[in-house]
Amino acid sequence: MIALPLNYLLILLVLSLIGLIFWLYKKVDRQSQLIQDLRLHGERWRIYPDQKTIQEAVDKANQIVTHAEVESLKTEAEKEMELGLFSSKFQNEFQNNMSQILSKLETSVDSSNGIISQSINQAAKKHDDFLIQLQKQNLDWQNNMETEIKAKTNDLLGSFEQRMTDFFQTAQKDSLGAIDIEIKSARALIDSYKSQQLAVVNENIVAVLERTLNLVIKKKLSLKDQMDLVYEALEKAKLEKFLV
Amino acid sequence: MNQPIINYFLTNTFSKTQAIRRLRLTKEFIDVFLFKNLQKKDFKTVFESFKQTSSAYFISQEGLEEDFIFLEKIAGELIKSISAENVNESIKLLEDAISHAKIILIYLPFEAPEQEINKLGSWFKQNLGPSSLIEINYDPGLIGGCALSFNGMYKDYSLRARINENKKQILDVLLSYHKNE
Repeated sequence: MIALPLNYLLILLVLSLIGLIFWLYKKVDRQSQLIQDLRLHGERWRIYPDQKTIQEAVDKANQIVTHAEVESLKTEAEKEMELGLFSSKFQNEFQNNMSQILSKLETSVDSSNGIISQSINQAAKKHDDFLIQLQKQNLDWQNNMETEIKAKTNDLLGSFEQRMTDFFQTAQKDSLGAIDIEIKSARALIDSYKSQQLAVVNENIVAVLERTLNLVIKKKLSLKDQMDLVYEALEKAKLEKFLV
Repeated sequence: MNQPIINYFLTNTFSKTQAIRRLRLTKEFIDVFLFKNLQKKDFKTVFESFKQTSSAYFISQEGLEEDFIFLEKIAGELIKSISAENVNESIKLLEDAISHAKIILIYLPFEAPEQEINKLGSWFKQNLGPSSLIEINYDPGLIGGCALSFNGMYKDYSLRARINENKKQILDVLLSYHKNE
């Protein structure tokens, strides 16, 4: 807050300097303009005269010119002296003012530096405090978020678990029911197949017996036994008078 | 070839396979003795050399040794009655005798050795006449016993036939056995 009027002071100083310089410039310019006018007035007499008149005019002009020159020289000298005095005075004053301004500026800069550094320190401190507060708030927020997320996750998992349990129970029930039906149908199929096969076996038991005997007798009967069976068959054929 | 030799041939040959084998052996011997015996050696010498050099047809044939013994018995009489002029006629007589013999087809469920075949053949010669010959066929489905085919008729005397004849009784026995269990 103290920095604000200091800025204004600085601005005022700069403006005053500018105004001073402008006023000095104007004065000098006025002086030079005056000299230019005088020179121009002297030159005007050379443009439209006859020979005598011209000569008189020339003489008069020369007189005027010399008088003017003298006057101008005088004036110029005076003016130069005044100008010199003025410029030296101006320089002195300008230097004084500049030194004053500079000293004031230095003091103001020093004070403003001090103020700025103080304000910077305060701002840094405030910034640090703000960061700490922000960090704290962030941590609090993070903790709150974590607890909320945990609670929500727990709720979600609990509901999911419950739903999955329900689903599995229904699925198990359905699958068991389907399996029971399948088992029943398979049993019925097996029973019908069994009865069909038994019927087939009953029909072909004799063929099965023949095949079994064929396999067993070859291994179990000796050559003598086989030949005995053959002779038995031949005797039967003889009795039946097949071999006549 | 005279009839006694033919009768002896048929009487002492039991199966058709044996008869064909012996016939071929006889033909080969006659061929060797009559047409390849340029040095006119005696029967025994020729027969001995013939035994060593008989054709590949006879190699590892069952009963070949017996066939040589049989041939040795009839060869002596054979070479007396056969000459180069009547050899074909004689062989033809023997072939006709074999083809006109009583052939009985026996179906056995097992492979019988030559010895048993000879025994079977001798049984048929005793019961059917000396000029009968048996022809052995192999039918494993018979289980036991045999089946016969004679004069165009076939009769099954095997165990298979007996089982089929008593099928009903067997079924009853099996069913009663199953129920008792």
